[in-house]
Amino acid sequence: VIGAPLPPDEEERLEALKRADILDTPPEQAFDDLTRLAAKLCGTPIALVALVDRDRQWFKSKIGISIAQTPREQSFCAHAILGNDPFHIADAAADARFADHPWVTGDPNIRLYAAVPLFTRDQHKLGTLCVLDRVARPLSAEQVDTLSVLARQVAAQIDLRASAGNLRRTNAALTFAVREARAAKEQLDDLLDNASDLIQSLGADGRILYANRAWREALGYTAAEISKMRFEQVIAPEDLKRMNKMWAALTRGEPLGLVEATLLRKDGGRVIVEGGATCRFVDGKPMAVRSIFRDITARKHHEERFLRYADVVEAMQIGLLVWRPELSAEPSTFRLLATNRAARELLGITEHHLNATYHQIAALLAATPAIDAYFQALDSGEVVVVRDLDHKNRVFNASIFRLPGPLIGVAFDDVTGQKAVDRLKDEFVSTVSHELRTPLTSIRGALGLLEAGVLGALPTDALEVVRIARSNTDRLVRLINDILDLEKIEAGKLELKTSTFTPAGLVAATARMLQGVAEEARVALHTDVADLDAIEGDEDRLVQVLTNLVSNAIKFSEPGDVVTIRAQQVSNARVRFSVEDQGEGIAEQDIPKLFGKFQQLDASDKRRRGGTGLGLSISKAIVEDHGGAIGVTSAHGRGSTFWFELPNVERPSLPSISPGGSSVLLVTDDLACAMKLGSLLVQEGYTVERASSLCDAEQLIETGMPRAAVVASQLPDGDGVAFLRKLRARRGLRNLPVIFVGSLAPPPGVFADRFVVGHEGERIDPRRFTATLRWALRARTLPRTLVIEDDASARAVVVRQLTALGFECLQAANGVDGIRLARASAPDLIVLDARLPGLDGYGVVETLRTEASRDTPLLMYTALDLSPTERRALTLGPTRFVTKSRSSEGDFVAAARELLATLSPTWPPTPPPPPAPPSLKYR
Amino acid sequence: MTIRKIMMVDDEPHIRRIGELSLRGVGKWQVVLAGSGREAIELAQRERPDVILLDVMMPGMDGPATLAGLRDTPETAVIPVIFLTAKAQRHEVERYRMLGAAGVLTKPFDPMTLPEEVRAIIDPGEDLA
Repeated sequence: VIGAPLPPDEEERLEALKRADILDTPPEQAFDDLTRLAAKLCGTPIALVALVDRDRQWFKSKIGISIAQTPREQSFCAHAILGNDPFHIADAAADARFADHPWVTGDPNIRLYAAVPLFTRDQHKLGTLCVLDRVARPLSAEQVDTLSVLARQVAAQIDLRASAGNLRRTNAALTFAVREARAAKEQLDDLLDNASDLIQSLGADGRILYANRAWREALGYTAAEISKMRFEQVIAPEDLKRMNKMWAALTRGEPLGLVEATLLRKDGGRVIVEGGATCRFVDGKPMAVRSIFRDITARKHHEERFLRYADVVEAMQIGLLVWRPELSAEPSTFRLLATNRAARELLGITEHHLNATYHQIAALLAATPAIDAYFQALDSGEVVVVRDLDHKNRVFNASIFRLPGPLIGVAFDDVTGQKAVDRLKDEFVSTVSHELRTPLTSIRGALGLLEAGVLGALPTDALEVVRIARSNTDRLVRLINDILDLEKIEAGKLELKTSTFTPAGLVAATARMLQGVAEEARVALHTDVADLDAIEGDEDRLVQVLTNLVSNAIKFSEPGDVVTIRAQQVSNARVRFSVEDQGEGIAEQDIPKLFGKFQQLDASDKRRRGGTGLGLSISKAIVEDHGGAIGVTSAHGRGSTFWFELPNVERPSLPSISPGGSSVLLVTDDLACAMKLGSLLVQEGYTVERASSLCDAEQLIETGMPRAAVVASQLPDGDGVAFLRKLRARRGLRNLPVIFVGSLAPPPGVFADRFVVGHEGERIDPRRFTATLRWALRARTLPRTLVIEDDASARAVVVRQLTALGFECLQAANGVDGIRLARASAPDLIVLDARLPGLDGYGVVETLRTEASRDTPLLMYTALDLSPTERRALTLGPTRFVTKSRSSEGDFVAAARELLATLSPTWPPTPPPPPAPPSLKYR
Repeated sequence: MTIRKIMMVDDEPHIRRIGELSLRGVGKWQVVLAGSGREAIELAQRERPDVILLDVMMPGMDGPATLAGLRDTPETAVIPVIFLTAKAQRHEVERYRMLGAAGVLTKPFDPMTLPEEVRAIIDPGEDLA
């Protein structure tokens, strides 16, 4: 067989064939009728409509054979379509091109082959109408002519079919477009009508073409009414002239800035609005004026009311700044609306700074950026107190509060002098405590020795006065201790040493301590304690509180009375300790005085009871430092019950990170895509954090620590590649696996980043997507941390926090094991307690400094306040100090994250650290 | 460990005297007194007390410095030291412990119980028994 050459228009021809949309379609009557007619008129057993495709010929219609197609190289028709005329072979066995063709040498033993090319409308020959016979004979001229006529009919039929198909498709597309357009309009209407802003569109002649629901509601008109109205009708008369001027400018094509206008309600009321307007031009002619206004009536009202008090405010000694939030700005900010003289003097600003943004003022003052956070916190509606706000060596205390309306007030006071006094006071107190205790030590000791008879027995009277002197010395010591305690508590310097213990243990410890005192007073001490969960707090301090309450109760009991100590759960979240006595009780009007300083209700009591009068105020301070409350219920003559309540152990979960699943950051503004991927990820057990813009996503990476990110290639405020750059600029996120999604492929360059693991186009293959993500997460080495801490419960807390951050955690309970583990595992971060049994934190650091770990980031987690010298001795690589109990879980997490960010840019290190030993826990 | 000899270090003579009476009279121990850190280090090498009661705030060489000196001297390096302090702020107590003190006792002390408190620190097991 000699294969036919390709026709010169082959590519276009194949295109046309594809456009005809006929290949591999079922048989159709119209074609079959024509084929049958061709066979009949030519007297042949076989007739075909054969279409020549790239690699085959395919039969749209066939008489006399059953196969559907043949390879192109075996095709007679491939030869026939080369010319424009009928192709006519009377005896194929005698034709060199076909003599050895399998259809000639074998079944169906073809001899006659006559074909007419099928010219379609666009002048391509898609195939032929052909007739074949087993007998070698020529067709008559008339038969050939007839075959040509039929072939034109077949070609016309192919064109007709294609047109019908096009029409059908066009129709479907139109229907879809109409449906989409309708949906889009509904969406737009919905958007406009649910917008809180007043949106309107006006004709060039001032007629109102459109006004959204907020507009209609604010001005009190119905949709029907406004269709016949003009904009002048809703402008307050006093504003009309100004508005006309603006209108003229706008229709001349001049831009307007922020417009403030007073509109007139249907009922005559005034609405003050603020916003912008633009004009639409067609061929240079103004067609419509569109505007979006915001109702600022309430704000104006508040501002005016506030300004009425300006004189008073101006004269205040306390600095006051009033800020107006500008939420429409990007990013939203605050503008300075008013200041008073004290504020200007204290901060060194002038009237010129009015209307400056908050950030401008902050920059001017070089103020702590933390204020930002305080402004955010205002959303909770609280008054926020900023202590020790540093500015140019001055120290301010500021409170931030909401004024009526959206205004924010900041009142502040220069406390620089007070702080200096505080420091002096601290030193004074510390010195006095030493200077008073030293002589007291001698006095107390001498009296103690005398009273005990160590130096020889004393006469009864002498013993009595010595005893008086000794007990008063004890009282003086207690008083000094209490005053110092209270001083410390009030300065906010009470150091709580937090541990976990049971309420029953606390009660038992107290009862044991006071058993002797109770017996001496012949008072029975009962306890009634439910079996409660452990609570968290400073056990010594809480024993101090309970001891104080119980010893008070004993003091005010008569011999034979009973004092009962109880501990019970009062709600899910609180445990109540109470001490009940059968004493004389307290008159209602005296109760409020009880917890004040030096309060003993009856001065004559003092001698009998011998207290310092500070116990209850100390107790109150301690309980409140624990986030609890203290109080008393009593009736005169019916005994008293003093109680305090403590919150149960709270274990706040970390924001946006669940310890179980890995958190995946999903950044896309395409809702459908977000829903699809989101549900897919959740099903796979991931936690999903979604951001719909670059800006949101950046905030999320501030607060959370995702394990992977899925990022749309296009976002409303930038592209995915920009986000990738931001991620990579943060050291801790340099190796965060990223998968791009969206129709637009990211530039190939991004795949040079080996943690960009894939791109999923518009059609996301769920299986491939999740497999890629799993692979990416597995391939990534976890940051490895080593926790060296002897206290098992403290260690558990730390490990929980670190694991939640996605760190691998190794643990050691003492310094020696810690060093061993550091050598074996090359951790990326070491968390170290300063105080350890045996080799302490100093020893561990000293040893590690001489070894490979010398540059490892270190988080010192210590109960102690360390001096600068001590801190230097406890520094390894980048080092942060977090004081236990003084700092929140958040501080710890922040420090750990910060240290992670100091890891080398090429982290994880190569070669990878050796595998950890099978048992990670040394004991 | 049984205590036979105890050294008390304090710059205040009255406190030294009261301490001596308490430790000898109530504790029934042999008592060595030192009025400064320097004297303490010198005396300890000669006297080899079983335990040292060391004041924190002393002019010149203070308690922690004295402790360091004792640790640097082979003859006294292992003698347990208990701080006796009038500045009983909690973080200071923690710090003294970290410096290597066996324990911290506060002033004013009760002369009748001081020896018992010393014994409880040096041998906690004995207290329980």
